[in-house]
Amino acid sequence: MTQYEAVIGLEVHAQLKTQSKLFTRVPYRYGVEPNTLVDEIVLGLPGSLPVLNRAAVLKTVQVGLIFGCEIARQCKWDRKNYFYPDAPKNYQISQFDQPLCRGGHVEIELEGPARNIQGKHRKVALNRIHLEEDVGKLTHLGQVSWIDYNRAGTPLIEIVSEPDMHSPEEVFAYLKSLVMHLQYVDASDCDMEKGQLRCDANISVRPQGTTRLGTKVELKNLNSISGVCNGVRHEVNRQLQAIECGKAIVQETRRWDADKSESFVMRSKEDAHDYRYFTDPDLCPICLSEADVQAQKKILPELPFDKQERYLRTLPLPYTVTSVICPDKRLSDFFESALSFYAKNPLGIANWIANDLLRELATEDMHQAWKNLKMDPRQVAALVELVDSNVISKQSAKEVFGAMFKTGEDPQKIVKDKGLEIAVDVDALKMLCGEIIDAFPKPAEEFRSGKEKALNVLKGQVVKRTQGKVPINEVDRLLRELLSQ
Amino acid sequence: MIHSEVDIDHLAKLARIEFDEREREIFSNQLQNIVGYCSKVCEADVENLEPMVHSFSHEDNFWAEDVPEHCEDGVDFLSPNAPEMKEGQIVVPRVL
Repeated sequence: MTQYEAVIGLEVHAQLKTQSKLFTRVPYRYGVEPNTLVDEIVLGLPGSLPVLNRAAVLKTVQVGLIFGCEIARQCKWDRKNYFYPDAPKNYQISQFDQPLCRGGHVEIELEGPARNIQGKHRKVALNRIHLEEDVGKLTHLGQVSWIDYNRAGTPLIEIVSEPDMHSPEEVFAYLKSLVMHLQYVDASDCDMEKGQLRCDANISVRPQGTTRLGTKVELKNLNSISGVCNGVRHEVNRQLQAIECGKAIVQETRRWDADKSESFVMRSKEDAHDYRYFTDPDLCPICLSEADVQAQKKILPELPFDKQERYLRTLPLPYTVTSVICPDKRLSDFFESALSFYAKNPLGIANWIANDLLRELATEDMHQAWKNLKMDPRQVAALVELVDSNVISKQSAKEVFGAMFKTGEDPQKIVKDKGLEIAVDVDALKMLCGEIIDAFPKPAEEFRSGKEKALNVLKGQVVKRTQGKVPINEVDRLLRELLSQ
Repeated sequence: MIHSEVDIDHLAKLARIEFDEREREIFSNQLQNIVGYCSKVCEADVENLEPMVHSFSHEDNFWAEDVPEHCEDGVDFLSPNAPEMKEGQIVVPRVL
């Protein structure tokens, strides 16, 4: 029986994070009163003249550079004409045959065999990235549609991949990587719920080992990363079933319904020539010098996969911790800053950041949580140092961290105010250790007969009895001393 | 001179409008005249001219810094042109 493979290409629209719109200085913000962020340029009123936003071009160049695209030194703007109420001008300013970025690839990491094992990496080829303006938002209510033009005219990049993915898992990894990279260069927040990232998928199947593309189906309305994967999986199966039943695949556009987990045929899409693309006569071409492009290259940050590779090579960190810290630039910046204050214990610092800090920040609005963050990397470094030098116990450190996060006070002050310093009365501690050994003869005996792990049971009991206010390495030393007698 | 026949029915479909036979005749003629007039440009002698994409020099970028400016109150700006407004939004017949 013939084995088939899926062939998937994605078109991803990402809203650029600029202050103002693409061709006018009207600001853009999500969630404001409808139709308050418009002017004559957004609406395309007669006589209005658009002026290009420099930041939008440069951000697109940055995105092109991180994905290894060829950056056009010269390109133009085109009008894509169509009649639909989301386009106030009856055309959308886009780039037809001269995109700002061509080629390139997105590096992806597939899921590993276990959470603590790094998955395979591969590169998904890109076709192009071009810049265009967004359209308004329609809300369909019964027999009418409501239109809000606030979003119209905001800069969007369209990232078009080659048909280079073959499974929903690759699609998932691709989207995750795209989001991570776009956030890294601060090009987009990529919040799919706010429509900052939108995705269409082109899907076909072909006999394995062949190279000719099968008839493609375009899948729209994929509103979340998991929605994209479910939609793609469903469509691949639908096509395979059709082929098994001897039916032909029809080229069509289908709409994914995430609630019903089904896709439906949409009205036939106008052919490309119906958009009647032509060069926008109101806009000058974009010209970029080698120096312009090099200037953008210079300000690019170290990219997440490179950073992770460096961490794994140079720091004593496990893969799991790097896979939490590296994809988030703010977390990794925080980590590296903390490390610069106290380089002796990278894992100690990384654990506080990847577990405790992230847990505190993981609220509904993480951007706001970061903005409100009171503690700084120096304080986390100081906290780790306090534990390492036995000033406070690990257990007390949790309390200090909580207070630090709430108040932004230095850990030294919190320790002092709360009286958390470890007061070591070695004789008393030794006596306690002796009592514990007597009270728990089984683990004591096991340790004596060579079972190293049994010591942890005894240590745990000492910590419990002292409410954590003991230096754990001192407990370790005393228990070993007593058990060897 | 380019003699291209205007496909009035296709244009009507793209523009999502309908008209009767009389209007069809009128608009057909009017559009044909417009296209005919525009095609006059093809009569110009361009024999010895360099092709160009744009009338502006390629060396200058006409772009602005990304500094937001206060905009006019959009709703007031829109409503005189909108067929119907509700809660600040324009209401149109449903198109899907």
